[in-house]
Amino acid sequence: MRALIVLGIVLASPLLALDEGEARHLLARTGFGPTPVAVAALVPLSREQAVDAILATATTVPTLVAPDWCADPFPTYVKARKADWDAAYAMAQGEPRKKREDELRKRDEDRGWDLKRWWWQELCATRSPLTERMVLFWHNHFTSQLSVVGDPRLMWEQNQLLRRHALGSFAYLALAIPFDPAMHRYLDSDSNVAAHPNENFAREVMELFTVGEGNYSEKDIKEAARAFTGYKLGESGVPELDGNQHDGGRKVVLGNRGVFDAKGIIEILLLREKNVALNVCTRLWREFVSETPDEKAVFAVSAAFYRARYQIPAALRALLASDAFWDPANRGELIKSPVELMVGAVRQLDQVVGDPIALVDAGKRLGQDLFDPPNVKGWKGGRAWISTHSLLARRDALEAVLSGKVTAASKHHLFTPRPMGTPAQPMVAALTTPTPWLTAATAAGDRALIVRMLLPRSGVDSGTDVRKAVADALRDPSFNLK
Amino acid sequence: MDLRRRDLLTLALGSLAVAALPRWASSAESPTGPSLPVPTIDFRRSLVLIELRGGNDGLNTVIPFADAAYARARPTIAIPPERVLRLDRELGLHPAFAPLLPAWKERELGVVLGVGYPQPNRSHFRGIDIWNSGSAAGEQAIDGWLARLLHGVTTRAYADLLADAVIFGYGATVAHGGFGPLSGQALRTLVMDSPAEYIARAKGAAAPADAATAGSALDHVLGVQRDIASTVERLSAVEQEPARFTTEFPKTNLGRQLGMTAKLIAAEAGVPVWKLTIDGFDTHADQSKRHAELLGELVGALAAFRAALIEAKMWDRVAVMTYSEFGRRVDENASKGTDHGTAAPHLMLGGKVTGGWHGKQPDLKRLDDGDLVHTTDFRAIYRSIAQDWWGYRGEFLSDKAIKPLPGLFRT
Repeated sequence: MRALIVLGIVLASPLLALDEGEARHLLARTGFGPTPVAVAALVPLSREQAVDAILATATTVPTLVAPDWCADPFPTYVKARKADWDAAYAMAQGEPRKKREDELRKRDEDRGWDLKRWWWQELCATRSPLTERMVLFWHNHFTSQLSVVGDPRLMWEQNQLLRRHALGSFAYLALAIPFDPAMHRYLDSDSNVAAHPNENFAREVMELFTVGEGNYSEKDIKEAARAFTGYKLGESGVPELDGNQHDGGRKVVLGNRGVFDAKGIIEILLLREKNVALNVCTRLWREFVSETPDEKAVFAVSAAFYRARYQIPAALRALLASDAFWDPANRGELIKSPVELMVGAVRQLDQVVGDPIALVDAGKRLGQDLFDPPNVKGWKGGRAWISTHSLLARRDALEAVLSGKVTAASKHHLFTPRPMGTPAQPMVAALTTPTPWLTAATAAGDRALIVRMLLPRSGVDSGTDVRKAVADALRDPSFNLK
Repeated sequence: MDLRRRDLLTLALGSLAVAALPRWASSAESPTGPSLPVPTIDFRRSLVLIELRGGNDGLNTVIPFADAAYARARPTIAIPPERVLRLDRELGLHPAFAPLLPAWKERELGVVLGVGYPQPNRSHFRGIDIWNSGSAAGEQAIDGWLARLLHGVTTRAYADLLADAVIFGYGATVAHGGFGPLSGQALRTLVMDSPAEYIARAKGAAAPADAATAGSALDHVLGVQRDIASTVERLSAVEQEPARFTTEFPKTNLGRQLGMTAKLIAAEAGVPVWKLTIDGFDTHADQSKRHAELLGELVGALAAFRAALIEAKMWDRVAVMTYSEFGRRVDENASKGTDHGTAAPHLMLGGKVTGGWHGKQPDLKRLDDGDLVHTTDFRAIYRSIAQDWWGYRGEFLSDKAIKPLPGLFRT
């Protein structure tokens, strides 16, 4: 703590230092609910330094070890799964074969649950909330649905891909997407062959993933679809080019003429940097700043993004430096997603989740079933999260957290945390090490502190009993806001 | 009177046309002045949507028994001609439809044939998205067609409506991507397993005393909380009244849902849209028994629904429509089932529905890669419901060229 204070004095002049409300706001918008230790760490810093400190927590490695069926290298898994199915299909028609097929289907189903549990627990346990927020953001950008993809391991691989690039280069991420097995299945790329081009992937790549609506023609989609033909999931389980099914002819896409393949098309799209950056940064604005993007300000953020050659931290720095982000009128003006609501409550209440099945279930009931967004556009988000039924369901789900039902399901971790030392940088340590605070605040009778940490707006609280502070705050309508 | 002339008349006689509408529709003034009539709907009339989840096998629902190609395509699962409920020389219904034959004879059961759309999609998820949004196959319109239609319409009748819509079946709704045809625009949609369950959950959800800056996120949350408080009061009042009919409903899942719907409609709860679901139509294997059970559940519940609302003298104010993400392939598969296909028939039922066949049965000799070619665009039914059932004059489909299905409703 002392080192932190010294660091703070050295780094920031008091005039530029954040106040508690600002530090809280930054943490609420980039993570899952602020705690006093993290707030105290940021308070001596300037805005810019605080944003950098949070960006410095970025990681590409999850906090928890993988589910055991994800431990084998991907090609090994793919071969084993294929062998299981081949063996089942080789059996004679009849009861034993049907039973075996049911077993294999059940195994996938169980693994699907396992996968969802894993991510919910990772969200609760993560050392880098910003990383998880960005993985969620990309999951909602480069969407795939487990219910369509079928094989849970493919969704796991996609999650690792999003994780590797979550705070890296958008260009690398976009270039990897056509070769992601889950996306390949999700958008029908396997049936996209030279003889019958399927435009599904080409359309979503343009409309949602890169340049955005209005910045391409139907002809561009048709031409790009040809370039995406003939990629087949090979023995290794990843899309590989099959020359016989690929349309190797000339294509004209967005005015570029050439013999393009999948990579070539993504490169052409990425060259439309203004469109791509504006599309991505408008979504980032809605995620981090407000539901009503300010055209000029988003434009500035997108310029910073493409000038930095699609480095994602550059976009976030610009976004989090904007006046709109810090405007007190925008504080508490975004609606928490079900994940933010539940994970935030669990983390802020110092709870440790063992078997997160209750959270998977709550996510489904509140409308955010991780790995299963409703469609290719993802969750609509924002105010659409709140309806008569979801508000009641949110209340019930938070009561379950309060009564300890969410953590009661188990006493041990379903997925073990990786061994992790204390980070060398004290600031990173302060922002990433979970530090229980509620017991101390309650013992000190500091109701005001508890309410300030849990709620984004002041002036709502009218209670006095410190023991009821947490329950009162979780039942407050503004607990839905960030 | 043809449609264009009617439209012209509506424009010319704007205020007169509005005067014919119920008081809650006519009492609201357009905020932009009287020159352009703001679209409204006749809120006395309800639409009951029943989703046949999984893709209903149309060819074993409405059966072209006289066509030899039908029996040839389905050596083990074809309904034998002697068991088909024959309605004319070519077409008949699955035997499970017996309880609805009186409705057919009274000409209150309409069957729209060959419903589909160009470039059909065979994914459950994408397929139902297309139906829910009322969009073309290549279009990504995510808002539901009813949400677009009702948005801005219902707010004008706010006080008189219990809710814009009720969706029965909680898990089925959320797990499959939200509110379906009602997703998108912020409507007052009540999702519940049953009114009793909703009332129990909403107990203690008092209208908040807090006030927030108008238009703020907190204001939005508080507004929804107020909606809960106000609807739960009205709903529990209606729920406690005895039913206004004596008809018993089958003790099936859909029977219970339609029973509750009937009770609330009979009590004039004030809900323009009801959405119900019956799941299990994805009959890839051993289809015959399962499909007969599913159709039996559907038909039994619908027959009771009709009887109850005739008894309650509300039958002229209800239109039921079934829909499903796709039909199934013409040829049966190796597992005595059927795989994902394209066009299928759908039911329309109600006191003001024109009974009989609508549209044309797809030709079994003119298949597209083994699939039926649709003869009626599903959006034509949506257009008919909007214009001819509700008297809606606005635009809610991205494809303005879609025309209503002529004469689907009696005037």
